[in-house]
Amino acid sequence: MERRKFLKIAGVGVAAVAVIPVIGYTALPFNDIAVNIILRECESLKIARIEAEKFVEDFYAQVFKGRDNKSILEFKLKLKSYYFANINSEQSEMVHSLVRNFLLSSDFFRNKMDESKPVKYVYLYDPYKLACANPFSNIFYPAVPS
Amino acid sequence: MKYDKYDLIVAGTGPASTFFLKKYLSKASPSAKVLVLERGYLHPHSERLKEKRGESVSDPNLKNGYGLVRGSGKGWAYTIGFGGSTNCWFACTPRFLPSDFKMKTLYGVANDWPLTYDELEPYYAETEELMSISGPEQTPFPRKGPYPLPPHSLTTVDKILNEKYGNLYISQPTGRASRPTNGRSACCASGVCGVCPVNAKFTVENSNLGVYEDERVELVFGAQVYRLELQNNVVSKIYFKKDEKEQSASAEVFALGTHAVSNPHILLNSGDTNQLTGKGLGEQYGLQAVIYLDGIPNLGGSTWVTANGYMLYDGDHRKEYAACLMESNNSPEWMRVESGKWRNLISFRMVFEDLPLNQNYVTTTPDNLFKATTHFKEVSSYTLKGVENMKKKLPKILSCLPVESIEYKSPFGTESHILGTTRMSSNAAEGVVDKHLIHHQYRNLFVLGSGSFTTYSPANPTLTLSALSLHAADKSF
Repeated sequence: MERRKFLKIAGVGVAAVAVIPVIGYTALPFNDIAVNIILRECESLKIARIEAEKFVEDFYAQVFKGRDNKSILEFKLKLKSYYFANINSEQSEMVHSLVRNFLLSSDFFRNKMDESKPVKYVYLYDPYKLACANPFSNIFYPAVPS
Repeated sequence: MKYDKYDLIVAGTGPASTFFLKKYLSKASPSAKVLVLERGYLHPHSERLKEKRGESVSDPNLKNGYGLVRGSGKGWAYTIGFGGSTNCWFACTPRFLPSDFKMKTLYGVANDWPLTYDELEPYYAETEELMSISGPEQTPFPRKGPYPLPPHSLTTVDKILNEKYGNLYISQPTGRASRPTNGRSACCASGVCGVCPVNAKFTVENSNLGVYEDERVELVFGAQVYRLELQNNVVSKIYFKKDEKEQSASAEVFALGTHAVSNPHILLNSGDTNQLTGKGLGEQYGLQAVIYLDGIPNLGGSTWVTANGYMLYDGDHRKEYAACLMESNNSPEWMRVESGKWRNLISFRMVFEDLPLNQNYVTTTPDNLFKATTHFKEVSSYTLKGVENMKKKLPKILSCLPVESIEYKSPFGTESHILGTTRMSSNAAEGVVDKHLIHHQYRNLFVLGSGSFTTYSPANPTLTLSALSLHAADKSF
């Protein structure tokens, strides 16, 4: 199985833009695209769209804090390109980061990765603000005495 | 400054200086006069944590508290400020192996250190006690008795490897406390150790070593040391800039404990003519290997790096290629976006030793006494051969696991260590300092820290450089 490959914008961005209808590419709001990516990447999970929307709003408010307009625009264009080119988490760190942060910010791991339960956005994952929240640690999976 | 002349002047407040002072103060007279010159300031943990949380901070110097030397070839990371690198380190504290000190004798590579593992062993133990290190009973290096704190919990996948490889795959010895201790909390695997959210890792600030509170010590912040006065093979003065004013101070003995870019830079500014001062600038070489597993989730570790693997470390292969130390990483960022396989992976940082190469070096900067220039041309072919060998052998080493595939990431730009620029040797032709970290030519000058490393073990340097400081001060005073 081929794993995530970190793609360079020069290659993927240009190729993606070339095949995307310009109107659709520019018209869809960035947050909607980010939400679509989460729902597409996590299609096996039960995620209400509103949960992903709340997360995306908080997540990118933090990601874009202090950044200049040019770099924000470049970032948004890049993620849009990836969306329309069907670039997934295995292929792009940018996509993986979005999905990873959503899952860490949700109750999915707290529910022990139970895919039958609806996934809710809880809080924006930030280990400095809420320590000891590594969902894979011994706090959530204590050793079983043998 | 309180005095015209001091018994000891130390530059820097990182672990090399702090452990040197700890031992010195235990042996010095009650009236000893010690001056410590620190380039930066105290940035309290609470303020650094606020900064990370995006909250307003009251420390006006905090933004200047971090450094990255971007020289030719690569960047060298360090922290300026009280406590030095303990403010940013991740507190991994494996000892070196005895063979690391005898690379020439055993493998015909580089040079032997002028001291042995056995000579350093009591000082390793003392450092581990002072840092309250957590670690396992069985280790691949000889040590007596248990670590001060119990080991961190292994993950489910680590346990399989530990069962197969025994003391070659162990819970990592670490300064990230496994239990609340000495004013520190227990590590809870938050994975952002640079500024630990619960103050679990050892730092100079939380160490309770009593060094800078000692009445004999005068600590001056904002003092950048840039030159020594060398006369008749003796250091007589140290020059520093404070508040944009150039000043000097005198002492019987001096110790440079800044870092391995700055220490040789100060020596070269001073006219040190040792041919190896500044030469051999290096560190380890690392890359991430992500192992995708079928049917086994990797869960339950209690810290950031849960384990060290030594299966590719020592042996006759070191005659031809580099040792590799494996670090099992428990960061939550390592996950798969695949139904039913979310945590079915283990991620290893593969860390390789490198050799000192004289074409990698620190030098002065024309017309700027306060800035070092670094040149890094290349990683050794010995190291790169080690990487290729690792890729050949790793599948077999991991054959006890249900491996779907292995992905190798691009090499990291740095391991955030700086080594080898004032190497330790038995004579001045082969190095800059002796086994007690005293300069071969200037016998009242100690040059502390990882610049003294004769060779560059894949193991993390801070424990060893701290033990070397205790050893140097114990044997010299």
